[in-house]
Amino acid sequence: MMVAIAQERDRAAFARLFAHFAPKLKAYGMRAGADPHTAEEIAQEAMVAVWRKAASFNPAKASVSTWLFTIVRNKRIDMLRREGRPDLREEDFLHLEQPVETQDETYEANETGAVLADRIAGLPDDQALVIKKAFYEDKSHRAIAEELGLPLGTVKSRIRLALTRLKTTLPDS
Amino acid sequence: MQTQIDDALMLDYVSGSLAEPVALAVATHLSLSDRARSAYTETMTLGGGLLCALDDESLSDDALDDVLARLDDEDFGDETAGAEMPGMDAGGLDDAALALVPEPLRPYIKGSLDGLDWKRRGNGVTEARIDLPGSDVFRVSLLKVDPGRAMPQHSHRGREYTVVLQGGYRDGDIDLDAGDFCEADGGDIHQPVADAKEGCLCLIVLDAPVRLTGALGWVVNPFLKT
Repeated sequence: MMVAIAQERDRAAFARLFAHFAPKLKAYGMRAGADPHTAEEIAQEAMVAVWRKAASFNPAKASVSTWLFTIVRNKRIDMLRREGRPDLREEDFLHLEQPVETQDETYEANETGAVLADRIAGLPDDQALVIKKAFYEDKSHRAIAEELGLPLGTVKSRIRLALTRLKTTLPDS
Repeated sequence: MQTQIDDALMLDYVSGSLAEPVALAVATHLSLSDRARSAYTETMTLGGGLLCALDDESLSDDALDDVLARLDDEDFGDETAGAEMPGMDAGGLDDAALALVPEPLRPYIKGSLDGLDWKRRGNGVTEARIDLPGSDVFRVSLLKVDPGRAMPQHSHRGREYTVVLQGGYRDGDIDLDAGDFCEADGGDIHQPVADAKEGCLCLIVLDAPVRLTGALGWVVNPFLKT
């Protein structure tokens, strides 16, 4: 699908990718505190960036979902914050230890998403809460510790435990 | 003190919640360390999975058409779009700076390293402040320490993030070389000594002034003066 978008500038393929991911990108924006209008704008901007940067997408380095996450996270930072961020060209240098071999990226992304959703549901509540606040609500671990009234060390160890458990779901582990 | 980006800091970086000065230190280290980059990629991949795990939020009816119309504009302006590769621009840095300054740091340094406002801090230490948003709370500097010279012994009220760009230093039983990262927290009393041959050039991000603990600290206090 990404190859069709990058090389053939295939708009039908782009529309399919949009139908699958844009609603999730909007959900992601809203979780971070954006109103529905801004969240939709974030989703749209991210999809335009996908079109623009499709040629630099390398399936050997990252899955489509990881690449999209990188893009939307950067859009979210750009749109919700006044301050800048260091430009790392992260979309370009992401690399996995092993190539992700897949014919159907959307299917693969669904699978990983579903497995991860299960894993998060299976985490102890206190660990799941910390992970959701970090990834979805754009809160630093210090802000989370403050908000929950917990010592920093407790939050750090919950993050460590949760990430260790979640990482076992990744394709290359 | 720790010489790796821990899970919590990496998660902050990946989720995008770090202030720009700290994000800059992390990004600079990531650009220099394969090991850190692979931890980063793992966490990013989790982010991708968590994105997919979200319940869909429905879009307005014309959302796709609107984006397709924007693609027309994109394609129309394709010639310029191809030339503009963000980050590829050397930013007018000279060769010496290009050799020493990793990509994420380049936009913050204009022209040459020598052109920065280097201030002598005594004891073989020179410092150039880097201005960026948040530098009212954070102090972001390049620090040059002459070969074999020691930084004044100090501890921190806040945290100190260091990325070694050239040379290296020894701090107690920790050895840091070019590309390495160190996070020191309040209560860590330390006294880095620069490499005997190459000295040390590093990026330092402080989120509160340091406190000097050595007897001679007050003579050579690079951080409490402005």
